[in-house]
Amino acid sequence: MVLDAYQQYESASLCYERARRLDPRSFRWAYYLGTLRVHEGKYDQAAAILREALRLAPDYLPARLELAASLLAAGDLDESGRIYGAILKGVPQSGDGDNAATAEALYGMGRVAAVRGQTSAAAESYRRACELFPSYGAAQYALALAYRKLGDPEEAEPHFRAYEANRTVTPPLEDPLRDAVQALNLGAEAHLERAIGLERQGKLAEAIAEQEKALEIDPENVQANINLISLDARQGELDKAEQHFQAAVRLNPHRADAYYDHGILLIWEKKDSEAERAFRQALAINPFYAEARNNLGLLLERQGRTEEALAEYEAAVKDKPDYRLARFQAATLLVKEKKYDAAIGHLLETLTPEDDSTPRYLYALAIAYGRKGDLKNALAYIRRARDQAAARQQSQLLASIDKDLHALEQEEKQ
Amino acid sequence: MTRREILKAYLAWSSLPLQKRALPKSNSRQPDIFRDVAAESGLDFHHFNGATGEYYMPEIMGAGVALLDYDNDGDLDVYLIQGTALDTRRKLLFPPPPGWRPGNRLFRNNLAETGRLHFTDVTERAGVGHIGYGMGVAVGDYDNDGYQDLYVTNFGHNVLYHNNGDGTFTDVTRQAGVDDVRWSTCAAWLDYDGDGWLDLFVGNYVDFTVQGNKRCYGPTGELDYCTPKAYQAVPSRLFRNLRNGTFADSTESSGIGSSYGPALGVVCADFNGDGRTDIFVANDTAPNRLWLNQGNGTFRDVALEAGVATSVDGLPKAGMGVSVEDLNKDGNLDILVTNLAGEGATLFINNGQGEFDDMTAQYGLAQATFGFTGFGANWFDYDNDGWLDLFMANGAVTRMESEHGKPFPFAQKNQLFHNQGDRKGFRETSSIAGPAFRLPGVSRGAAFGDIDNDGKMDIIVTNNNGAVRLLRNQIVSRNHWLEVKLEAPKTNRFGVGARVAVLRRGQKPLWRWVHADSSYLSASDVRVHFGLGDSPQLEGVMVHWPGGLTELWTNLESDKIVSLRQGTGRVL
Repeated sequence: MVLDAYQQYESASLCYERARRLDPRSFRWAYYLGTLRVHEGKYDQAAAILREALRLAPDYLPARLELAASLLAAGDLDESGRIYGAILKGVPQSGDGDNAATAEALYGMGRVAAVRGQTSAAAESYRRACELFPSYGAAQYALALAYRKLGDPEEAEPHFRAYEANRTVTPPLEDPLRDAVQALNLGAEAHLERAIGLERQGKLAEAIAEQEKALEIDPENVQANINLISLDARQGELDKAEQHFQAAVRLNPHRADAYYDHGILLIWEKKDSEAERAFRQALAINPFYAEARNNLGLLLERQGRTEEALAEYEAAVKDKPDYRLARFQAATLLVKEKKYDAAIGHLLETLTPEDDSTPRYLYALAIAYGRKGDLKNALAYIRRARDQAAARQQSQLLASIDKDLHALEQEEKQ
Repeated sequence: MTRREILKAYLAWSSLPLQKRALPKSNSRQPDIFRDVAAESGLDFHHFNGATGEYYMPEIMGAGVALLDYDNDGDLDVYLIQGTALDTRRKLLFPPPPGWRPGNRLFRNNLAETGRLHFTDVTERAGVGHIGYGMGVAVGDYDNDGYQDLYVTNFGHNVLYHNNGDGTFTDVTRQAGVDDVRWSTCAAWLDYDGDGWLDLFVGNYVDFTVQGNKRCYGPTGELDYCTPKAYQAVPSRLFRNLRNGTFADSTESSGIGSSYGPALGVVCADFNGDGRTDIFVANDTAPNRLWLNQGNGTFRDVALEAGVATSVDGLPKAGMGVSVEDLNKDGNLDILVTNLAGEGATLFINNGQGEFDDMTAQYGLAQATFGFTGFGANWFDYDNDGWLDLFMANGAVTRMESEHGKPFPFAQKNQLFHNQGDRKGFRETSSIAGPAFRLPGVSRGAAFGDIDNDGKMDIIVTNNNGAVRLLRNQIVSRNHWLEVKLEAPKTNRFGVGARVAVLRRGQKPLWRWVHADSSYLSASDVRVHFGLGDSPQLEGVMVHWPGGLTELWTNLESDKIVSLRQGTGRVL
């Protein structure tokens, strides 16, 4: 199990095989061996072993799902579909864990139907999986593709978007046996991985605890120190964040991200000139660091060095063309300099994808058109900005938009 | 003995064993399908990755190879990309072998001149020995002078070599305006605006710098190469040919810069049959991109909607190499992407309406490729039976458990797959393909072409920190073949992007398309090869030229290499 936890699958397989021979009535050794065969892509073997395992513990849901998935991958559609069907009949709908199993089984049923060319049946299974667990990325993607195949791209569209928002999210199926294996990984890297997952879920305090555990195991872990700069800062622990920065650069003075995170910390502390040095240091190490360029531009703009600021924003856009914030900053400066076409060019690139920032970008675009004297476009974009800001309940922005919308409408009347 | 006599002698000699082999005794052993002839043919090249134990990411990624006829003498020459030391302050883990020379190398094939497959290193004379941290190469005649030029991608500045037509090249990067200082990987020549002048796509990877190297660790805590996720992707570039030896950066105006990932593989082809060249980019750990040419100088990424952004489960894989052909003879281009071990390759089958289905498992490639980290790959018909087979060059990018304790623990075997015919999928034939397929290596680039002009497709494979392999096809087969080289008089001289069909009575047309891109960081023979099966009869060859002209040639014989000149066929 320790070898398994540290991803030494070939050695772990040998151990599990031996354990099975010594203790043939134990479910867990067969289950572990089966899951490792899945890791190796040996689905035929995985299916055979998991089938044997389930004779010992027929109700262990993760094993049943793994068996059905292995059979599907191995091309045994009938048997795979039969097992998914049995899971769906047998799972009581009582808790989140059961929902997760049901969602996975429905997704699997959909896959079986899709391979058979039964697209409508596949879509129905995927739809039910998505209903049960809307952030199930794979199911949303499969459903979108099924609608596309059925000739309904409009129906597919929201499911593509739901997939894009949750690409790697799967239903949280409980698997105490696999959890027992994972718990044996005591390495710093495992703690870092867990910390990243927790941070993604917004659990900053728990993420910090995991990062600190990583440092307990490996006090020279640069990455943990760097990660803690921003985590501690976001929790208001500015002194601790500073200590982690100092530790990170002591261990490795060539990490651009350490200087970048420190730069942000220094801005929070209103130490602009030190922050500027930090961003320049980051850029000396990695000249393609668009975020560092953008932040450097902001600091230069604050000092009234607009030409230099614009150059940094433009460079940031070149290094990262989909960096909407840098385009917005550049456009704002360009409008001030009456370079409306260049500003409009940048702002038009900020309109996709649509998110909470979109009303602000639409508003800026309307202003640029307005200053240019293109009243028609200015009104069209400011109305779009207003609609979107209202839909997203951005009241402060809405108030500003309304003021300018009124002025533009007055201008139109004249 | 005159040159013609030498050639005649060679042909007489070479046909003898063929006749003998055509009638094998019942218990005779078939020779291996491929034999590595690199050393015996003078192809002396050892890739140097400059590894020092710091695990700088570029060390494990290169390098590519090109097969091109740079001197237009009718045989394929070889251009190999080389690495160098990334950090000269540190001691090398793998010093290059004695006699090793730095920089990229150009090997001239003496076949046409002497009748014998043998190479001469002409790098210095040709002036193409750039010393940099080389990644890949793209081949195309960008100035329409009838000679193929070279674009070399590097970790660092890229290089455009103009072919002067006299056996020499000139570095014109600066004048042409096609440099990129980012970490460039794949590149491809395409005519996206349909003006007959080849434009250039340059795929870029991540924002790694030597100074900012991050230390990454494997699951057991050992220092290892990072995944691209440790860094940020940098945007790829598109350069429009201004028809005067210079290019304009159209990355922004074309929309190509609006969405990107860590690019490693690229193929430019018409995926939706609208007559315009599109761009498919395989990204490492990020969704692939399919840029559909809108016909107005812009592209739109439709990878997600088309079903080629990820595999069927919606998970982005570590896309490395890519190969595109009409695999199932339905007239549509299908896509294969090679990925990391634990993911397996992905096969996207085109339904003809711009939509693709992930049919990797149905075609028998899922389990067979699952344990391998694939790089160079291509569809090609190694037994001339008319069905496209598959070669995959493999080698890990992070320490392999099974190689624990070895100084360079990344070696894997390469794979060969035989197409079983009409939607019957693939069968792995590596075990009978020859000793080169039993020899593990850290293979990367692979280029494909008929290097000895015998009608059978050969493969050249690069190995990171290892010697190049030239896999000469020696299969015993009575099957027939045809190779077609296109010639256009004024623009797009090699017909890049043209579609070529062999017409045979009672059979579906056999479609191929003219291109040098695909695989991984490499460029293949621009001639198209057709395996014709057991019948030598041809009705004709039809060519859809870029721009819309369609011509038909009849009275062509099989088992020949033919040149089809635009304007000499019957216009349809």
